[in-house]
Amino acid sequence: MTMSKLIHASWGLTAVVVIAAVAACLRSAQSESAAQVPALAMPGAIATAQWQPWRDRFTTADGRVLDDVNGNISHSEGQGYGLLLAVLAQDRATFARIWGFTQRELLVRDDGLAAWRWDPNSNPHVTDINDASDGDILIAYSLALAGETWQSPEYTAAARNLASAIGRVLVKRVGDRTVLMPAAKGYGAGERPDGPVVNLSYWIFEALPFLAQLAPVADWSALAESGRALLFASRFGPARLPSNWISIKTAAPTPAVRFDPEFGYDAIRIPLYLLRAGSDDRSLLEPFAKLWSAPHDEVGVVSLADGRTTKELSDPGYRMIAAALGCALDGKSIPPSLRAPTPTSYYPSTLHLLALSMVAQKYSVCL
Amino acid sequence: MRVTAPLASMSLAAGLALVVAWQGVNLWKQPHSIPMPMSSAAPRIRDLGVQFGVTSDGSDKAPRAPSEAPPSSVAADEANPVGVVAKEPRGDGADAGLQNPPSVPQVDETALRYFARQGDVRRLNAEIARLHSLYPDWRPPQDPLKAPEIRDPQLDHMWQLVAKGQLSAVREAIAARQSVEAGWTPPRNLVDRLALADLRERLINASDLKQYAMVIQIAAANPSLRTCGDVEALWRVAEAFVRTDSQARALDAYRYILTNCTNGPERIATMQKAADVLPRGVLDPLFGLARAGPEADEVRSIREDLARRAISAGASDAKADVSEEDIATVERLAKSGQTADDPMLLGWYFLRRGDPTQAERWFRVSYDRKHAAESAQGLSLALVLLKRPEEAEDTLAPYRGADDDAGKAYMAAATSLLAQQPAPVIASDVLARIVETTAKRRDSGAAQQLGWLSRAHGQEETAAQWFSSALAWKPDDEPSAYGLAVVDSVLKRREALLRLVRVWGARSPRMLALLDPGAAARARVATAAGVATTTSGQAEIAKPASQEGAAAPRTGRAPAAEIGASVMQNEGGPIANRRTSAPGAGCGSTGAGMSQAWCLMQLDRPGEAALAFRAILSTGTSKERQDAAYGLSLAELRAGLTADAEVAGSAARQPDARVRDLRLALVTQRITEAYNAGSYADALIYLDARARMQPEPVNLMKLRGWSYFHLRRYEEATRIFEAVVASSGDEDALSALNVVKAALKYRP
Repeated sequence: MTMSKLIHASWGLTAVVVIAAVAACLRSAQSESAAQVPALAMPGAIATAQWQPWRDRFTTADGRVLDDVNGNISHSEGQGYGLLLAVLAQDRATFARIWGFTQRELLVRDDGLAAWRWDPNSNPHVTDINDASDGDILIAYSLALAGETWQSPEYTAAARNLASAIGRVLVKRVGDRTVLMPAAKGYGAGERPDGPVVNLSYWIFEALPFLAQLAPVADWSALAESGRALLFASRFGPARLPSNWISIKTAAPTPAVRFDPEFGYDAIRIPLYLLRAGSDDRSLLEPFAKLWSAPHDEVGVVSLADGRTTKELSDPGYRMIAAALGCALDGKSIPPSLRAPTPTSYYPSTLHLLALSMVAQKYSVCL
Repeated sequence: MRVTAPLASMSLAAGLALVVAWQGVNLWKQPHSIPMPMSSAAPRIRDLGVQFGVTSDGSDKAPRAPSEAPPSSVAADEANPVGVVAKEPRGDGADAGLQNPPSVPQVDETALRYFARQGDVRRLNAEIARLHSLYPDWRPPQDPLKAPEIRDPQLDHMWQLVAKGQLSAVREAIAARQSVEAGWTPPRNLVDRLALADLRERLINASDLKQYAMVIQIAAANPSLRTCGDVEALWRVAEAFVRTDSQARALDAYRYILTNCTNGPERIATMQKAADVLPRGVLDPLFGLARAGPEADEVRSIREDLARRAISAGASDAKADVSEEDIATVERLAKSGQTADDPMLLGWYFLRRGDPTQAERWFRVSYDRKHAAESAQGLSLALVLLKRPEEAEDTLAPYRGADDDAGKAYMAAATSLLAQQPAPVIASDVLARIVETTAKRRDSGAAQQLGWLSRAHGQEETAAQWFSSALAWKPDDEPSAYGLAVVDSVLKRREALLRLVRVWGARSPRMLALLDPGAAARARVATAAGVATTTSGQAEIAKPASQEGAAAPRTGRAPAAEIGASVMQNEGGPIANRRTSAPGAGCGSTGAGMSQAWCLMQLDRPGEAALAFRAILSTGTSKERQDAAYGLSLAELRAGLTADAEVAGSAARQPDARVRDLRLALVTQRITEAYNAGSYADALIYLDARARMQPEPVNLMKLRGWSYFHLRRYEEATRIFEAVVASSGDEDALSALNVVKAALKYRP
């Protein structure tokens, strides 16, 4: 099975009018059931003017989210991102549409997790029944937000079922660590020579407190903690960056074999997820800040062996992550060209909206 | 097995007739449900029987006319055809008495009417079944086509989307309306219908993806998916039970359908599906539920198919149990029927079961009904077993080019024909087609037999060419090589013979025996005898059309063997030179004796040298015999005849130095033999033994490295190759090092 993250090509940049992010009017999470847990902060909203072009470009009438640079297949990650953006944009109708497809087509696994890959040109459409834990978490998290936002018992129940399945199947104890397996199959100790292998960009930190309220079956705070600890311990090569895929077979993590030892399309999300979860811990984020502090404002895939950039990622979506980090740590202003995204391709455009909405909510001074 | 697609071709009229039939008796009067397995996780599911109310009505009872239905069952509808629609059915029924008699449940028939208006019989039926599962006392309206007025265009649109199966769009429309119309909630039956449709698709998707636990989980939680309105879903559930080793539950599901559901094609397909997935032993009670008429006929036909399957299984697996009853059934079908298939099935069965007489009989029946390559092929195989190869060849001749199977079977028949003893006389037209097909298919076995047949008829050159072809087509075929050697021997082609012996001698003792001076004479006598029995009548046997590739096996050697050979030359060369006093070239074709023998060795003609040394062994003085034994050992070593070398070495007592040289040469030979045979551990043992006698030369160090490599002892292999590179800069060793490193990287 190839679970390696699909390649997201880079593409041109277009700018449109700057739309100020609309303040969130999301209800705060109800927390009677978890008295000790502080009320969960809702993530920042996404402006309708930014959301609608994304929606029109990447979703079908059937509620499928298209990965346009990968032959318009769909996957659990894309469905999860679509649901998250929809709830953040307060688009109840589109959320319902994407959810319709997701539960019908992907929530078919015996264990309750989502099948990860769906191909319009295959029959059955699901071409790999394995799951991808980032997709699972995005879907469960979005359902949890939607359940709160629209007071929908259906969404909350579905979130609870999926969160429980994630906690049961994917959150594992490895040595002293509580880790998130990338999938139900294929990454464990017995399944690869250097297993267990994990992917730190699957730790969607902002989601974990929500999952904790829904599914006490797993130790979600230990999971969040181990994610940060692993990130500290996974500083490889001269650039001191994490690889996309990391072996935790030994006490000291190493870049996983059979994956390119690089900081690339996956790992670039790590600083975004940390910032979105409210972490602006400079010591944790420092290698990323250093990487992107170069004067020429360049973001790219970094080979860990020599710390050199092997491929530039020119899409504004990727550069927006770097800009958000510069804003969060050093108060740098977001370049105007990044403030009004237009859809380019599915993956970077998604990251763009997530980064921009985070800045609008937490660091509006940079805008 | 055939599976009829239910409902696919069903007309609207027939569908509506079914609705009427349901009104009478069938569905809800039937008491049984599919019991679901109770896992610890799944809640206990109510029996449909509880909901439907248990009655003792037989399923075969004719449906009652609608007029016979209790008046109360239609009262609500007649009283207020649209009233029910306008109400919110999710209410607790507190106001039911205003419009309905207290005993009649408040049922939202919006969907029912909608589907009826659309002419969508399948969904109409499904809705009726669903409503019955929810409201056991409810009776469907007499005329579901009487459509209500549209009061809510948006809602109507939602229903249209449901009808079109655009389920995501239904969700979107509901959510969109909720976004703008605060407090609006969709009618309960729309929500139920949508949820059910989604669940049904999930169930089908999970089933397609073999997620059987999910299939069962969905079905267990949703009784509405387990009704006669959706037999497809029931089949999927039954299959999920079979695949999760819950055979009894699967049986329950099929029994439920056959007990309760009325659709003829679906019932028949149900029996077929059950027969496909359940063991025969449990099927009889199911088949007992078939109704008289077409269904009974279908059961008979399914039983016949099961017998055919048993015979077919018995034909492919000689150990499979096949009952006499099944054999008798298929024999009866084969006799009474007109098709070629049943007798052919029996033909293969009996052929597999070692009864070629019965096989011939049934293949003939099949072939007479339909001249087909497959039955001809079976017949031919049976005839070969019955030792009637002429008929076998003749039967298959018309099909020899039909396909690969027929071609193979034809060659088998032809080979049997050619191989008969004494050598047969074959008609020229038959021979011509055999020769042509042999060449076309490059069939080594038949080519070899053509070789022997040619020899038997004294056509030695032709024989040589057929043996060569056979060897070219199957390079490891000793009999063909031997045939070639026999011809070389008879025609006194010593050099050719010795070349063959050099390659094959170790594997072919009988070929070695040809080197015995008496052998050629014996072979000639045998030939003469063969010709004597068939002196006349045999047309000249054509030579194979192409000789290309025939030379390869006569000279080709494996690369590793070459390594060994070069090592041996390092060993034997200088010594041989020391022993050689004769001039290098010519060797003197006349003068037998020691110098000629060593000369031949120097010319790397060890086979001839061996012959020369042998001659001295039997005639020479004691000193000469000692020299000759040593020479013979070296010659045979070089020719690849180790075992003989050891015998030769001991044939005469050897001085110490020679003994050491000889032992060195012998163990070297063992090393390469073990290596070539893939016995790398043995190769290492011999390498160690040799290393105790003499420092290891580079060639053997590399062989040692590769032996370690093949034994996955990569570290040791690395050390060896590194040593070789360090000492000699050998490029082979350098590339070997890279290979080992790559292997180390991917070692599990």
